[in-house]
Amino acid sequence: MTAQRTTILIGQAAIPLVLLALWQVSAMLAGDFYIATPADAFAALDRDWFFDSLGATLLAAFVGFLIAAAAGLWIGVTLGLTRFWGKVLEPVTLSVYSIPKVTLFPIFLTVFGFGLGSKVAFGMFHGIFPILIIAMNATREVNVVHLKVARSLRLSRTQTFKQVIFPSIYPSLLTGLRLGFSLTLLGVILGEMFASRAGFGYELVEAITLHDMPRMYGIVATLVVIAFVVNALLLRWEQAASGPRRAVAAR
Amino acid sequence: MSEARRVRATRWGLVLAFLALIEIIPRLGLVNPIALVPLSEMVWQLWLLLKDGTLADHILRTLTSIVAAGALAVVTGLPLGVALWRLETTRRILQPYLTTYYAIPIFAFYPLFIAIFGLGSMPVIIIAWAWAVVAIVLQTVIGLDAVPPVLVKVGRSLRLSSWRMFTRIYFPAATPHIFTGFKLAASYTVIGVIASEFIQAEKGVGFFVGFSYNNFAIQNMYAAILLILVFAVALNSGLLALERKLYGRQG
Amino acid sequence: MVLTVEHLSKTFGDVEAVRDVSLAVDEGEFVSIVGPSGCGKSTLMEIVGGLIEPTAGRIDVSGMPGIVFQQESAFPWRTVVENVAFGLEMTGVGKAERLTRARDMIELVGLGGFEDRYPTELSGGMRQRVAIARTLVMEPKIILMDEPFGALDEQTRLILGEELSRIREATNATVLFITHSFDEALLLSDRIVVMTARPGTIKQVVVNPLPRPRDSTIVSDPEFGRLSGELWELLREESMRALAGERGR
Repeated sequence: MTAQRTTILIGQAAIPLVLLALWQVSAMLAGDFYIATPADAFAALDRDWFFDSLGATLLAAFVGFLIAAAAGLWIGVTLGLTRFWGKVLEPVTLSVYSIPKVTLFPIFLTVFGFGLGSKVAFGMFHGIFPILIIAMNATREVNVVHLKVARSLRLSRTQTFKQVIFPSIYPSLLTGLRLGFSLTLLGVILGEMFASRAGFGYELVEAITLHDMPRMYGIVATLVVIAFVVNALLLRWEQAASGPRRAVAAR
Repeated sequence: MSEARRVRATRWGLVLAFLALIEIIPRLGLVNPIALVPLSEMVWQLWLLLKDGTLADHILRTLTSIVAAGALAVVTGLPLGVALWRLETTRRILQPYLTTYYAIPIFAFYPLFIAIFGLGSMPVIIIAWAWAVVAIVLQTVIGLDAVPPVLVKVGRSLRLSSWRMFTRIYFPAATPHIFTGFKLAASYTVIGVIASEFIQAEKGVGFFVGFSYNNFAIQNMYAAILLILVFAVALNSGLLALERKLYGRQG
Repeated sequence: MVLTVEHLSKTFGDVEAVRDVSLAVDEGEFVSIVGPSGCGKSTLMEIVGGLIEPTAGRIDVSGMPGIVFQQESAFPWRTVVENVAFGLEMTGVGKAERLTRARDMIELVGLGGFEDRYPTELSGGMRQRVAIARTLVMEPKIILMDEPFGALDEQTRLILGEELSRIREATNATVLFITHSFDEALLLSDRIVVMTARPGTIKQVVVNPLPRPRDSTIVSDPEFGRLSGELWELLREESMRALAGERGR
């Protein structure tokens, strides 16, 4: 058992190294016209543009995510509490969630203009759905008796939300926020790739035109690391929040 | 009127009201006419584009890519899922990476594949496949894990061979989950193909949207967006209905 | 009177749950309501507790009633002491005071030493004690209990019944108690209200002559057996009617 655990931990630690090695070997086999080596890619990141792009992409993703989180939580809880409107709108939100939303980006461009505004708005639109849908479903599953306790104590709406609904949906909500952040980041990058003057998405498309392989690989590696780290942190938080003590809350 | 009917009537009412708004707002001149065209003009333009064959090549390219990527995802995802289910240690090593997979903005890899394979169907199919295949892998593992132990005991009591155990017990018991994987993969494939085309391509309906936007052909752009949305919503609803029909009674 | 109910009726859609119920509960009194399942006992209680509005009739209740529900209602994200102090916290009682009062109440319901545990770490019976303590600590003028031991096993039920009897002697609380167990009703109450099958109306009110204080040994008293038989006689007919109604649907 312990031997197996050790194997698993070593294996998990080895995966990034294996990927790095695969990258190195493919770069050597394919040549630097097609694939930049990890060393070249890393060296290419040492420029001013890198931090400008990092800042631009993360700013848009972060602002978009905050709006998506607040709006998604509010709409989701409201729909979860009003059974009728929840039923009316649930299939609509699920449909919008699963369409190729990126084709709607030009509309965001015309409404919010070229630049930060459209990226934030589209990132928000891209990321809000898992937050909204998960908040709605979790709110529906709040223990009815807990809501009755709140009413028997004549709690206000705010108190009921803070003391009963929020603690009940909190573990699920964190899942929603994690998925929402990933999709917001993806939305921002897609927007930047289509039409922008700043950010990693823009730099990527520029790099194709200039055939700047080290830059391209450097950006992709950076994005993968950022996405992985943020997701791992949120996942850890989520697992801590739904520990064994809270097992009953899930019911 | 029963509640279910009231819910449906309200939902359709809202959808129709939304469509009516798209028709009326531009007609009343409430928005810039180059920002939004009335719905009827979108439909009419789509009809013209379909009739004169402008879209035929793009539709053919997009559908081919979707079918190719989808088929590839099924053909590779199922065996990978079964293998991962059997290889306990490998699976536990990969677990944290698989849960993080969808956090990675996979479209950032698109330029890398363009650099290797050139602008064409190949990079589009690879991205769409990569976006879809993991959903099938994960759902296959979940489905095989969720097979009730009592069914396995039934198989053992009949002394079934391992092949028969798999084909007669495990696989059929897991199909509802695997179908969910197919359904997710279908919508991910569509998103993968159209989003890639939209970012950069030389053909395809997604490309046509971006191309029309960049050339101020707003009517063409909306016509193509309409086509994409109708296709995606129809595909998702169709698969959802099929799932209900096939597995609805299995709960 | 702590509670006066006059000509109370409640219909849900076209289902008549409660019809013309009148009832008065005096201070310090323990009144049980027994009746066949689906007779509107819980509806009656939720109306008195202010959770739902009656269709017709008048309720006069002093203060905000405390409610103990049949289903588990302890918040899994709060420890025992945080659960018990919840109501006090919501009404703005200071931290030091509410913690002292909560701890005293936890002691009274026999959960001393479990203050910092989470509900999932407790047994079902202990979780229900948490819910009872959370209600008692508010010192309500009247406590409504909706089959509080209904979800527990037989032994735990008996022990908790006895405990409740002791707690009541200690606090002299006024209680309106819903149950479908005669033993529980006879052990705990001063008066027992027998309700009819749906629509629920009051069939008869039985005054419990058994002397206080009582404990679970009372079940072997011949007088207890006689009263239990009398209640069963009253209820049997109603239960049959309720059952026939179920079948008829």
